[in-house]
Amino acid sequence: MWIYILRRLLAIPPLLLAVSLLTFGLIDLAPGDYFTRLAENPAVTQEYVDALRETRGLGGGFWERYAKWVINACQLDFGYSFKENRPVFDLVGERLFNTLILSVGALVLAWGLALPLGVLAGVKQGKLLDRVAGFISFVGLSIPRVFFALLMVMFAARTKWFPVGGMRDNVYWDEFTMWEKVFDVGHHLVLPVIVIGTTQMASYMRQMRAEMVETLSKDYVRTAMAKGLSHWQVVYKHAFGNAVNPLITLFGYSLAGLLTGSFLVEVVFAWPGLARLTVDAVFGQDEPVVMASVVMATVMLVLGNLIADLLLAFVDPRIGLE
Amino acid sequence: MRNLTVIAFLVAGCSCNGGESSTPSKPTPAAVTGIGTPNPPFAGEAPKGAMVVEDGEIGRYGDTLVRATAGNPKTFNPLLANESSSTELLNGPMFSSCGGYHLVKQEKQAGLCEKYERSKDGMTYTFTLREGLRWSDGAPLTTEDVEFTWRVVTDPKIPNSVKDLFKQGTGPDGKPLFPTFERVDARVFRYRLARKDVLFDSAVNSIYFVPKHLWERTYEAGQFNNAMGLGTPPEKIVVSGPFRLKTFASEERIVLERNPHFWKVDREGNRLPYLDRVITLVVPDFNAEFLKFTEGETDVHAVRPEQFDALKRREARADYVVKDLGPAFATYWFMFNLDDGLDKEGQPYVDPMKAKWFNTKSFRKAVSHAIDRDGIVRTVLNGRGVPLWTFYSPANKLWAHDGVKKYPYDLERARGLLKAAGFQHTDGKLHDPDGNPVEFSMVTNSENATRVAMLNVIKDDLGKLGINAHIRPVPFNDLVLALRTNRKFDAMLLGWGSGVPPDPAQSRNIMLSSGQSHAWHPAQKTPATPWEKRIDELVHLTNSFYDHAERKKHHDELLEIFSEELPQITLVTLTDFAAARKNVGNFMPNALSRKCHWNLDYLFLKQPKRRR
Repeated sequence: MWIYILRRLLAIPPLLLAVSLLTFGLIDLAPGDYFTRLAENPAVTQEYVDALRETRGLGGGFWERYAKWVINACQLDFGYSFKENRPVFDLVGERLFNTLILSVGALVLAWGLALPLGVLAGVKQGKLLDRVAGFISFVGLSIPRVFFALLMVMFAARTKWFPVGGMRDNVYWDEFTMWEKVFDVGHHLVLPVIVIGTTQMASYMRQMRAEMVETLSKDYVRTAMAKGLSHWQVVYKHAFGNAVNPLITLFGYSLAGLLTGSFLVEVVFAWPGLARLTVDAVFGQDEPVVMASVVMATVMLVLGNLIADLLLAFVDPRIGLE
Repeated sequence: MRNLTVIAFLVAGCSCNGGESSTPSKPTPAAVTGIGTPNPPFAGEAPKGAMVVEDGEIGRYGDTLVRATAGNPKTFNPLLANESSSTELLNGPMFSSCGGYHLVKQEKQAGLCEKYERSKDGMTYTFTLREGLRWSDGAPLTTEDVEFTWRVVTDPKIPNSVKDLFKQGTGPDGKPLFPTFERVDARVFRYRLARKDVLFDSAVNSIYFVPKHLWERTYEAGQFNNAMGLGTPPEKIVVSGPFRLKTFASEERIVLERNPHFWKVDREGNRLPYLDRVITLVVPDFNAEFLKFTEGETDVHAVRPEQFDALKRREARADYVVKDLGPAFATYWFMFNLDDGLDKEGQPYVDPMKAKWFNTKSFRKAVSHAIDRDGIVRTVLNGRGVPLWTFYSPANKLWAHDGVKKYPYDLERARGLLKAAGFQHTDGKLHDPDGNPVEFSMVTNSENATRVAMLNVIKDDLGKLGINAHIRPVPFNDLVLALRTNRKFDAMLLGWGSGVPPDPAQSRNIMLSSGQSHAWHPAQKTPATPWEKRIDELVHLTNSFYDHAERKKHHDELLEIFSEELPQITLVTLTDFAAARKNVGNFMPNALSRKCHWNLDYLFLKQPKRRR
């Protein structure tokens, strides 16, 4: 297994190289660069713009700059943001935590609801509960996330029950006690978590239900029933353990989307996370920030997939990794 | 000192119309009167030379003013800031300079310096700092700081836009020539100029000093370009303005609190600022900014044209007022590419056939007559704007000139002008004297819906003359590149804002034929046309007198030529509005800069705020 992991990890650097080259090339193809826009102001001289370019390493040609970037990135130095002139590492670190709060919250909601609802829907196949769960999941699957998010923002604006956006009440935050802070962030989390959570939950729940239905029709389940075990004992002891196997892989994949899965929702809810950082960086051609975001998302994707594969091998002894 | 002319920043005894004047002799007690308790409190006594604010009402101490802005500042370093999200926070609210500017009256006023003297020949300027000035950390603010800041500004390794204001040609070594700086004593410093510069005092006022005791070592280590960045701990951002940084949370909020050593007092001797804190909420866009105000979260709001109706409708029942500021300073204009240069492949920037039309004066005049400016105001600006006939908005009290040529909407006149120039109208299409159909493209940046909408009106208007003009919205960077670098466009619609003070010196880069922002034909080696040559002369004349009337005489002539030759067809300027809660005292919005919060040092809240 260790050889397998090693092999997978060794595949990361070439992938990163390809992804980064592509991104770097695309940014370079866009007209102008971060400093071009300054020249609209008649008070700004060309000498000033050129000097700024020089100090921020935008002087050389494409390959020269890319090579420099790769060498620095290998030493985990992702440079300074053009826009804010501070290390990209600090910028990303600042936002990473905020994004994780949101996506972990959504993950907990999605799985916390998907598993029990999926099991119940599978067991009570065709009953009212199954139908309701089915309806929710179809809505969740079919509604575009951005649209759902916008609806929720409208809901918040109309009812005033929830804040319209942001992560905290920035006016009173500095006066809050510890508990008020926890409550405040929680209050701000509700709507975005619902948006991301329900859309994710829908597919997990359908999967869980399908697995449950299939497992319940297996011979060993009938045998267990025939033994005289209670219905719920059969469901939890015999059926659930087997039915949940494929979902463990899905869980691994959902880790891959931890940083990027909430992208659009973050933007709509003005959540101060990685998404807004990246979107602003793309529009502003803040090259170092875009590069760092892309690299990080790629690494997360590869690692998430690896974890999914490992989990699968771990829970299902039939699968070998050699 | 016999040959020195003494100039006070403001005429004394101006209490009739308010304004701020320096009264270094009057001692100013720091005692708290019956107007509340400042928290955080002031430190020690007010500086001996504290400046007295004669403007506005006497306020009350306490509370937090909340405002919102779209986008993070990019730095806390006042010397490196180069765009408005940073400068609106740094220049004024956090950092002070030698002199200030009353943005409502459009008058100079005093600042950290209580006075300055200009020698008779105009080559020497002597400035005197107020007595007893301190940085927000308590360290004395002296000419050592001024000298240090000057060293930084003129350092070739530190790119900053301030230094461009001081370049006085090139020295024998090929490097830019700067005035020489001399520190006379702890409060007096002197500049010697290499050549006369009537706006030298304004240039000096654009330097926001930084504290030597904190940043000298960083500078010596070659790290000043990273000093006072967004990641710097707030207590290290030591300031001279009314507020210092308390918290910065990226994309969330900037909390400023009272600088306990600020150097202004009100006319009863109470130390300023009145407000304990100012919170700036960082929001993603203008809509979010608007929402924060309508929800009651923010106290002041710079109203955008499309938001005006919604605010005004609710004003009677609401707890806020909307103020009409009159025309804005920013202008919209349209121009043809008059550049006769060649690109890298040796091709002309503009198709020679089109260049011939564009360089025909009566063609430009006909286009100007064909554009329905009132129509633009009505349809694009919801009626909130005015037609513009000259380079300056009427908001510019000192320099707008009414004697310029005007081009009212008149299709008949336009057709007549075209006909006289040999253009022919056949099958509903306009043809040039050689029989080519008149057709060109107009660019503007796609992100700006107002500009695109204006082009739509212009397209329709020109269609009435039989001109087929198509709209080509491009990304902003493309537009800027077209403006300065690759020059590949036929016609362009753009807008320009105004600097502070709104003086012709600020538009030198646009008017001079050698200027990089001489948008219709930039960076000419020698003036391409006689009228551009005359404009060059007039720019120099305008900038070689101290007397306003003399300057205005030359500048009016310049504007008249500008409106006759029409290198830029000025279109409209919009009407500006600002809103604030009725609770905000001394709210005096202006259309020039830092619209709602330029006088943050004496804004106050009339009633204590209740927590929502």
